[in-house]
Amino acid sequence: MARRVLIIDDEEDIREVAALSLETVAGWDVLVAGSGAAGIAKARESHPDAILLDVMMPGMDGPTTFRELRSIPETAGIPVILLTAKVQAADQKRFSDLGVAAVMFKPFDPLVLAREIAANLGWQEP
Amino acid sequence: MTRFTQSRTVTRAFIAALAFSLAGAIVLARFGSPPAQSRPWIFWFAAFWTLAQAILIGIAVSGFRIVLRQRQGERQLEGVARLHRSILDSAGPMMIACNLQGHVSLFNPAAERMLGYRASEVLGKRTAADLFPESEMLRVGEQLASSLPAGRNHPEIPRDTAPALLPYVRYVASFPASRVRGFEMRYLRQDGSTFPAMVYLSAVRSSAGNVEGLVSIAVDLSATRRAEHALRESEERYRDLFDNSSEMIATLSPRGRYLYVNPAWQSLFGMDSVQFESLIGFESVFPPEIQAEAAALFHKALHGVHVEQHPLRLHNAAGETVEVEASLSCRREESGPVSVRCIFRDVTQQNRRERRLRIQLVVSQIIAETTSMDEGLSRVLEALCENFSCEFSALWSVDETQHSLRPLITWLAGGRSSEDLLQESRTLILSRGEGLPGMVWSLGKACWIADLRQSPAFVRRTAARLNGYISGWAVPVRVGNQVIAVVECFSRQFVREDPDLLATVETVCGSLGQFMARAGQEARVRHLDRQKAFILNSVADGIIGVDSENRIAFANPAAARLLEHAESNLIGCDVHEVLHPSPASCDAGCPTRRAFQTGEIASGQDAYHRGMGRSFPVEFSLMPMVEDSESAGSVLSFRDISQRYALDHMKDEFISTVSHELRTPLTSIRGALGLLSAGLLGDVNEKATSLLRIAVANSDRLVRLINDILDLERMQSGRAPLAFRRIALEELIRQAMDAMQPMAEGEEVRLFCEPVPAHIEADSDRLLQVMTNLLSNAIKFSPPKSTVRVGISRGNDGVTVSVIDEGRGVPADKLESIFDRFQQVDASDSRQKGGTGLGLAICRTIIHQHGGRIWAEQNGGRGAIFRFFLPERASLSVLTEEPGHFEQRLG
Repeated sequence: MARRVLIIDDEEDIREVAALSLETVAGWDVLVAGSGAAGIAKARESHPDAILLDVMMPGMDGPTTFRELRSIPETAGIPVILLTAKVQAADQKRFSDLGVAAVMFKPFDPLVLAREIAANLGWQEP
Repeated sequence: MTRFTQSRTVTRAFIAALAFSLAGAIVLARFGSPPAQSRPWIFWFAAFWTLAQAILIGIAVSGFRIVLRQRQGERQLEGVARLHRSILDSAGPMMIACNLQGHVSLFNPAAERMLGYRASEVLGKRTAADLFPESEMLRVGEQLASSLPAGRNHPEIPRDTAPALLPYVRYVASFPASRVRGFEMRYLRQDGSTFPAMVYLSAVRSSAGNVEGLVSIAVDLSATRRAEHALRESEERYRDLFDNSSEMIATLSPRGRYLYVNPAWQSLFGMDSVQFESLIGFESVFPPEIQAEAAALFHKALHGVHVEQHPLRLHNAAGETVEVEASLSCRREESGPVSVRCIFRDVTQQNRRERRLRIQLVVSQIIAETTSMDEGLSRVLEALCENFSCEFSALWSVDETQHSLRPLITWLAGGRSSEDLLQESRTLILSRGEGLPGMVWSLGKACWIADLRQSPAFVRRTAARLNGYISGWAVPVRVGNQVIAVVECFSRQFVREDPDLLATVETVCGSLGQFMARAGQEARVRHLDRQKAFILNSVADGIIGVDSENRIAFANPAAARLLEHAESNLIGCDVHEVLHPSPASCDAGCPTRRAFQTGEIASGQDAYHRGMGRSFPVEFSLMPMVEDSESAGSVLSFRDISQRYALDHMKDEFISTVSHELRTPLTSIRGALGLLSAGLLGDVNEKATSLLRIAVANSDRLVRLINDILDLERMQSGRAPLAFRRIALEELIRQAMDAMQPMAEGEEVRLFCEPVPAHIEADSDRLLQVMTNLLSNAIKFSPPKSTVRVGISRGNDGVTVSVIDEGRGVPADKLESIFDRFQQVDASDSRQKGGTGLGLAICRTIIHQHGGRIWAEQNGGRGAIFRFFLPERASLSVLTEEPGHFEQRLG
C-alpha cells in the first residue's frame, strides 16, 4: 500500500519537485500545503503517514507548526521530518530538541529523498 | 787664775777659818769658865778670837759669794757645754775635729751615723786619713793648695803637723774663718763604701791664735747628688721628649716672642730656633690666610682660655698641606701670664684616613638610600666638595656612541659666584683627550692640575680665572675596565697634587660607577614599569593579576570598569568569586575555573559578572606565572565581547539567512535537474542528458561551495570550537582513506599508507576533514595508475603527516599561496576538478587551531607533497562553553 506523505512548504517550486520526486521515485501519495496552518488542516483531514515540514515559513514557522500538530490528538502521532535549508549546528540541535522524527537538509537529491525518509522513519525501502 | 782655782782657794780658806774658829771655841770652852779672871789672856784671846771670828765670817761670806758666783759660772759653762754637745749630737752634718797630728778628737753622732764608726772607736785611735779613701786627702789637698792665692805669706805652721794635713792647715790658716769655702770630698765608711760630702773646714786655734787642730763639718751630698742627678735626668728626659716629639711644641712669651721651639716645630716651618727668636709674633710664621686665626688663638690662650685641638690647615716647608690640631694654654703666676705653651699635633694622615672613611661612608649611604640617579650624583658631588675643600664639581658622562663627554650634573657651593665656570661646563662637549675630563677619559686615570689658570690643557681656564678657581682634579668613574664617567672638582685654594686624595676619590668613584650602572638599570626598569603601567592603564582589556592562591593582587582600570568595581575593592578578593559571585553564575563546567585549575596557558569564552548584577560575555586568556619552577600566580586578561557577540549573532543570522535563501532555489533547481537527468519524467536525448548532468554537477558544486564558505567562516570566527581528545592518528588516517577509496577507484589511483602508531590530542572530526581534503586533492590531481602515499613520522614533540602524490605538482611560487582562499594552481581547476577553492584554506585553519602548521613541497618534479605537523599536545587549549549554555547564562 502506497504511503501518504504531506509536504508543508511555502515554496511552491520545492513542493512540486519534492512531490514529483516522491511520486515518481517511490510511488507514494503526496499531499501538499503552502503554510503551517494549511498543513495542519490537511493533516487533520487526511491523516498522512508522515509529514515533511519546512522550517522557515511566513506566519507559522516549522517548529510552531510541529508543536501545533503535536497538540492536536488526531495529528499528534504522525511522524514529522523537518526539511530545512538551515544547516548550522546550532539550528540542528534546536530542531532535534523539538522531538521531530528526523531533520533533513535542502537541497536534496530527488532520487534518494524517498529512501532517506523511509530510512529515518523505519519504513521499508521504496 | 781660773774660776776653778778661785773656788778651791775659797774653800780652803773657809776650812782654815772654820778650824781656827773651832780651836778658839775649844780654848774658850776649856779656859773661859770662871775663873776666867784668873787668866786675862783669855780676854784677849776671846777678843782676838771674836775679831778673828768676825773676820773669818766676813771672809766666809765673801768666799761663799765667790763660790756661788763660780758655781753659777760653772753652771752656765755646763749649759753651754751641754748646748754644744746637744748641737754636736743632734747636728745633721758630721763634725770631726783632729789635732795637727791627725788624731781625731771630736766625732759627733752624725759622723758615727754616716761613717759607721762609734766615737769610741775613733777618738784618739784613728787619724783623719783613716776616714777618707786612699789618695782622696792628697787629691783634695792639691786642689786646695792650688786654690791658695799666690804670693801670699803663709802663716807659720807647727812643725809637727802631719804632712797629709799640711795643705788643709795652710788653707784654713790662709783665710779668715768667714772666707773659707766648702769643698767636696769623698769619705770612706767603715764598710769600705764611700760617699761625697761638702766639707767646711775650720781651724782650732790656741789663745795665741796658733792653729792647734782642724774641725771639719761635712754634709753628705749623696741625697743631693741623687736629687741633682734625678733633676738632670728629668730635665734630660723632658728635653729628649720635646726634642724627639713628633708633636710640634713651642713656648712663647706673653708678647708673642718664641722662647722655645722643638725640632718638630722647626721642621714644620723650615726655620731654626734662632730664626724663631727673631720673630715678633706668634702668627707671623703662619701662611697669610690663617695668620688672623692664629693670632686669635694666641690671644685667647693669653687670656686664660684653654684652646684645645683647634684645627688649622697650613703648609709645611716643602709646601705640602699639613693639618694640625693646635692646643694653646697660658702658664701664669701671681704676677700674671708667664708664657704660652703651644702644641700642634699633625693630624694630616689621621684626617686623611678619617676623610677617606667618612667620604666612603657618606657615599655608601647616599648610594644606598637614593633612588634617583640625579639626586644621588648631586649629593655625591656635594660630599666630595665638602670633604676635599672644593667649591665646584661636575660629573661628565661618557657617550661611547658619540665619542664624547657631556656634562651630566654639576654642583657648586654657595657664596662666591661660579657662574662662568658653570655655564661653560654645562655647554661644553669634550672629545677624548680634550680638557681635564677628556684627559682622564683618555688616560683612564686621575689627573691633577695645581694651577688651572696656567694650564693650557685646561680648556675652561678663563672661566676658572674669572671665578677664582686655582686648583682642580678629575678622577675616572669605571664599571669594570670601562670609563663611564669622569668626576672633577675645583678649589679656590692652591692645592698641591695629593695622591692620597686621588686614591680616596678613586675608591669612591668605584662605588659611584656601581651606583650609576645600577641607577641606569633601575631607570630602565622604571621606564619599563611606566610603559607597562601606561599600557595596562590604557588597554581596553581587563587585566587581573592573581597570586598563587588565586587572590587578586592587581587589577587594571579596564578590569575595574568592566567588572564595575573599584580597583581597590578587587585587591585581595578571590578572583572566581568576583567573576562568578553566585552559584548560579557558573557550574562545574565553568571554563574560567577550569583554566585556573589546570595551571596552564588557557583561553576561551565565558560570561563574567558585573558589580551591578548583569553578566557580559568575555573572551579570556590565562597566563600562569612560574618563578623558580613554582607557581607565583597568573594573569587573567579578558575582553568584553558583548558587541562582537551581537555582531556575530547578526552575522550568524545573516549567513544563516543567506544560506537558506541560496539553498531554497538550489533545492528546486537540483531536484528538477535530478529528476530530469534520471529520465524519470520521460526520455531525454543524449545532448540534453549531457547538459543536465553538467547542470546537476554544478548545482552540487554550488552546494559544496556554500557549505565550505559557511564552514570556513565559522571556524575562523572561533565559533566552531574544537573538541580535543587523545586519538590514534593512524586509525583516523585509515578512516579517511576508507572514505576516499571509492573516489580513488573511480580515478584509478592507488592509496597507500604504512601505518605508524601515533597518539595526539586533536579534534578527530576536524582532522578527518583535513585528511579527506588532502586525499581528495591528491586523487583529483593524480594520473591514473599512480599512487597516493600517506606517511606518518613521529618527532620529539609531535607528528608529521605527509600526503604524497605523483601528479603535476605545485609550482614553487604557489607553494604558499595555494592555502589562501580561492587560490588554486590553475584558475580552471575549480571548474574542471569540481573544487571550491576553499579546501586548503579550511585545512590550514584547522591545523592552526591545533597549534600545528601545514605546508606544501615539490615531490622532486613528480607530484606534490602536502605535510602537516601536529604537536603531541595542543599548545593552546581552547576552553569554551557550549554555545547554548553560554547564551543561557548571559541571560
